Order: sequence, then structure tokens, then C-alpha cells
Amino acid sequence: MNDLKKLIEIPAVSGYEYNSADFIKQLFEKSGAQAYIDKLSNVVGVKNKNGKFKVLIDAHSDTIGLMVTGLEKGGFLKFVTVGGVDTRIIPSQTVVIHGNRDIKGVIGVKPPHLLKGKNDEVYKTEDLFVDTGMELSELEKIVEIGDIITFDSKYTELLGKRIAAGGLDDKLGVYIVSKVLEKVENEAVALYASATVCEETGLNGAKVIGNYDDFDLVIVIDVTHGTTPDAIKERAFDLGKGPVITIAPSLSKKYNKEILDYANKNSIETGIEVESRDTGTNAWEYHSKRASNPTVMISIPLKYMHTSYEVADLEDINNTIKLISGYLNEVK
Amino acid sequence: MLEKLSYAKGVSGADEDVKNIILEEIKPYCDDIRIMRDGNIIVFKKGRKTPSKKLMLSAHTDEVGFIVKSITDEGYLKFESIGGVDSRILLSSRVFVGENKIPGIIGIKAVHMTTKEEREKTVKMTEMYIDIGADSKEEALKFVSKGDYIMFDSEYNMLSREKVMGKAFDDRAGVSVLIELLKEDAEYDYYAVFNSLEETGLKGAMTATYFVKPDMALILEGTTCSDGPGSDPQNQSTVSGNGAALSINDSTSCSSRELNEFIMKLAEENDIKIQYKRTNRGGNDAGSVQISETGVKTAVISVPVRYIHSPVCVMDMRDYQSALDIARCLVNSLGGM
Repeated sequence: MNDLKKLIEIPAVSGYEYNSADFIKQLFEKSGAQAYIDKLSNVVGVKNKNGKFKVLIDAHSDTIGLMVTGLEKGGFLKFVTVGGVDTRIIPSQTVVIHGNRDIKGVIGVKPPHLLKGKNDEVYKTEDLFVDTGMELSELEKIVEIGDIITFDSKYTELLGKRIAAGGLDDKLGVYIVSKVLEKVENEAVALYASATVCEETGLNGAKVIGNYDDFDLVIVIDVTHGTTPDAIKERAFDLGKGPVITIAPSLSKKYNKEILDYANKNSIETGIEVESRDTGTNAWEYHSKRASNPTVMISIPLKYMHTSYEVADLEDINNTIKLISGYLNEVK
Repeated sequence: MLEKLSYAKGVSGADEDVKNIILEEIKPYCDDIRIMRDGNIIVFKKGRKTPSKKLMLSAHTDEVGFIVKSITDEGYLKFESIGGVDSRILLSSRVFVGENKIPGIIGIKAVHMTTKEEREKTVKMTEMYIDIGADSKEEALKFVSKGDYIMFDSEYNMLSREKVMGKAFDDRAGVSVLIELLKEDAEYDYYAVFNSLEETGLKGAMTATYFVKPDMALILEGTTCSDGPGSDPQNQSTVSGNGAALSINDSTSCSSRELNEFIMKLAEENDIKIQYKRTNRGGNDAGSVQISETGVKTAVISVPVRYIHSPVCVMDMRDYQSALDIARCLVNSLGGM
């Protein structure tokens, strides 16, 4: 899991995935693939190019984050969100501002002692600021408008096999892609792997990768909601109970069935998620690129999605790798 | 030392770690140290002279935090705050639970599953929970129990040459100033008090003052500072970097005019940057000290702390130095009063 930890530590907010592209390329190469970085910073790997069954496994390399929009007197920074950040969590986070060097800052709010009235409205992001503790003149030498800001989350081992960290959506997926790439040794399968950019801001990486070729099967690996006591039951899945396969109008019934059959035969626990339309993931794109690709969507249950501490279960990650690589090793 | 104090566990009712650090630091410099039944540390510092009036300096050892109220069947911890905390700053914070510092995350359902109405309203603390990774009550109970104290997991860091971030500067700033002062020789005798339970009712100061019976007291604090973008100058309370803040009155006490004037004079004579605290909201131990027995003259010197009562307090070391300088001047100039 060392590679996962390292990947998590690289700031790769949408638009800044080039920060992690070299590392992901190395991961793909370590898994025995030829790999390259394209014009958008998508990372593509290919193993056994001449196999007759062409499969793409995909996960997105970008994460949500914040971006500097202004530097103010007193060393404060104004910012906007990139991707669907859960803005309720922003007050009192420690952040890292990725200027020409990394500096820390805090997002503070008024003290409770000075609050008046009911205070039952959430803080608006436009009213918040990052306190860097620096003088403006000093800050201007390090930070400029457009620099990205990430939450200063620490990779945390909770009880059992649970982990908490920022950006698990979808660095977990990228890690899984690299491991599947490593474990599939099937002469029949030409295995392509992609770590795609800008999913959180419009699926743009997938739109381009989908132009490259026709695939017999595309497997998209992303996250879904993990069960919490307050979650909507039919939208959330228990952590530790395996990967979740999505049924949706645009997703492949044939391959869903084959993958589920493989899971049952090999006693890998899985969940089933039903979407009536869009999955909100790269799977939506791959289905309708070129002459259409049969696409399946496999998700890892993740609690507190789009916050600074998302929680997942390592067992689900291992079982997802086992399921996909096992299935692809049996395909003829 | 401030760093060590900031990292220490010290939620009201469970601040032994802070007290142990204090004792370890001051023992080589003080020979008259007493520990009261409620855990307050009372130090008599012998000076070169004995003043006609007895002076007490105090700082509180406790900080705001949380306590485990119950454990759900699914293994999540329900909690309540100890001391005043704005529930809007809690989500997605990392905390430590109990003596063994079990890490946990303060959670709420993902934003994707909320209604527009839910997103616009403050999430109440009673709706939140702490996720330690347990899958059931049984699993959770192996590591935590009801009544365990919970503290923020914060990092102590210099943000710039002057500004430092960390937790619990209210009142580890005061504690640290008082420790530094005790390490120095003093012109006049004084009492130094490290008392508990400020955040939960100014209670430690009641017993400590009764015990010491001072004529006058200087309370060393960390106080509110709201000087960020968009705050009106009249609502800032204090400005970080403008020196330690002297209180005039607040919701728990009225400072002694005589003491305040003396302190202002000392600041001027010794070129110490100082500011008035410009709000009468909030309170501190002076409220308990002032009404002890037949009354005690009090003054409050505070280090302005931005984002106080949060995991990410920020203060200016020049203000900290200013508080130390004022306290030092006072114990060395008592004869001039």
C-alpha cells in the first residue's frame, strides 16, 4: 500500500494532474506496461498490445480541491472550490498552498464568543479566507492567483482495515488500475490502462481517451457512497462488503453478468447499485465514444466523499483488484 | 515549550498531561509548589523583597474539546462539546479519542445525499458522529468507552517568522508565559497559579483564589481576535501583532482601574506594545478571582488568538512576548504601586 500512500500525497487537483502523471506512469511501467503521458496529462499504459480482446481499465487521477483567487492585505487568500467540494467542512481546515513552494495556512472563522444571533446558516465559501500568517509582500513572492490549495489531510489508519485520507476519490481507483495491470497475464487480452484528468470538472480526460480506439470492454473504477448512519439506504454501501457493480441503462448487461458470475463462483462479495440514468462518472462517456464501447462501472464504497477525510476499507480495494484481474485472466 | 504545551492533552477535566509538563518545567526553579485537591498547582515564588500587597498571577490549564456521550450499534461515537465550540467548524476534523489517542474523523452523510435545505443549515453537533473505523458497538468498545475525552488532532507549526498555528493557545499561551516568568528571578514575591476548569465554569480559579487569598491578581489568557478580511474594525476584539491585550471589562469581570493604569504606565515606560481588548463579550477566570471572599482587584492580559476554540488557532509571537514583558514588569515593579 506504499504506492497508494505516495499517490495520495501528490496534490492533483483537477487541472494539475501533471503533478502525479510521472508517478502514475512509473506505476504502470512497474506493472509491466508501456506507458506514456498525453497532451492533457492523461496517463495511458498498454500491456500485450496484440491480444485480440481489447480492454480498457480506467480511473480518474484528479481530485477536488481549492484554488487561489486573490491575495489580500494581512496575508490572507481568497479562494474558490474546484470540483464538488463539500463546503460545509471548509471552516477550520488546515491547508497546503502549492505556490512556488508549499506553505501551510488555516481557514479560520469568527470565534464563538463574538457570534451574535442563531448562527444556523452555514458559512459561505466566498466569505472565508486562508490565513497564511505572512505579510502580503512576503506572500506575493510565493503564491499567485490560480495556485491550487489542498486540504492538509494525513493518511490515517483507523480500526480494522479502514483508512482515512483526502483524495481517495479516485486515487484508490488509479491504484487499483495499476495493480490489475500488474496481475493480468492473459495472452487473449490487450490490456489498456488509463488515469484520466478532469473527471471532477466535466469528465474531459475520458472524453479524449475514448477517442483513441475501439474497446471490447471498458471497466471504469471509481467510488460510491459508503454507508453511514444517516445515509440514504439505497444509495450507500457497507464498507468491507466488496466492490459495487452498477446497473444502468447505458452499461453493459452482458459483462455485468459475466463479472458477477465470476464473483459468485469465487466467493467475492459484491454489491449492486442501480442508476436510472447517468452514473456521474467516466462510464457515461466511454459508452458513447466512437462506435460505442461496452462499459461496466465498478465502485469502492467511500464515506464522506469530497471532504478532507474520506474513509475506505483496504479489504474492498484488495477484493476489487482480485475480482477484475481474476475475471480478465479467465477471459478467452 | 509552547509547542509541547499545545500538543498536550488538556480537555477540561482531563488536563493532567498539561500539569505534568508544568511541574517538570518549573521544579528546578521553584521550591514552594503545592497541588490542591482539585489539581490546581499553586507556586510561591520568592523574590528579593516582600511586597505589602499579595499578587497572584494565574493561567488555566484546560482547553475546549469533547466527550463521548454514547456509542451507536453501528460503532460510531456520539459526542458533546466541553466548553464553547461552534459546530460549523467540526466536520471532517481529525480527533483523538481517550487516553490511547484512538484517531477518528468527525463525519456526516456525504453532501451528495443532502437536500438543498440541509446544505444551507448548520449541521448540529447532535447529528454528527465520530468514525473510528469500528463496524459495531462491540468492536468500538474494545478501544473506547463512554465518557472518554476527545481532543482535536492539530499540528503546531510556524506559519511565518511571527505567526504560529496550533491548538489550545487558549490558554497554553498564558501557561507558557507564566512558566517562563517562574524561571526568572523576581524583585517581589508573588504567587503563580495554574488552575483547571476555566472552559467549564471558571471553577479552578475559585478554589485557587480562596487558597492563595491575594490582594490583586493578573490573569494571563489567550483571547478572541477577529481581524481577518471583511471584519469591521469595531468588531475585531483585538488585532494580531499589535501586542498583548488589556481587558477593561467583559461578561464576567470589571478590571481594576488602578491596576490597568499601572500596567499601561509600565508598558509606556518600558516600550512594550500593548492594546486594549475592544469588546465586552466573553469572560475568563477574572470573574471568579474578583469575587473571592472580600474581593480581589484583577487585571487581564491576553495574547490575541485568531480562530480561538478551533483546531487551528493562530497567534503572533510578538504578542506573546509582549504579555511576558508586561507580567515581568509587574512582578518587578510592585513597590511602585
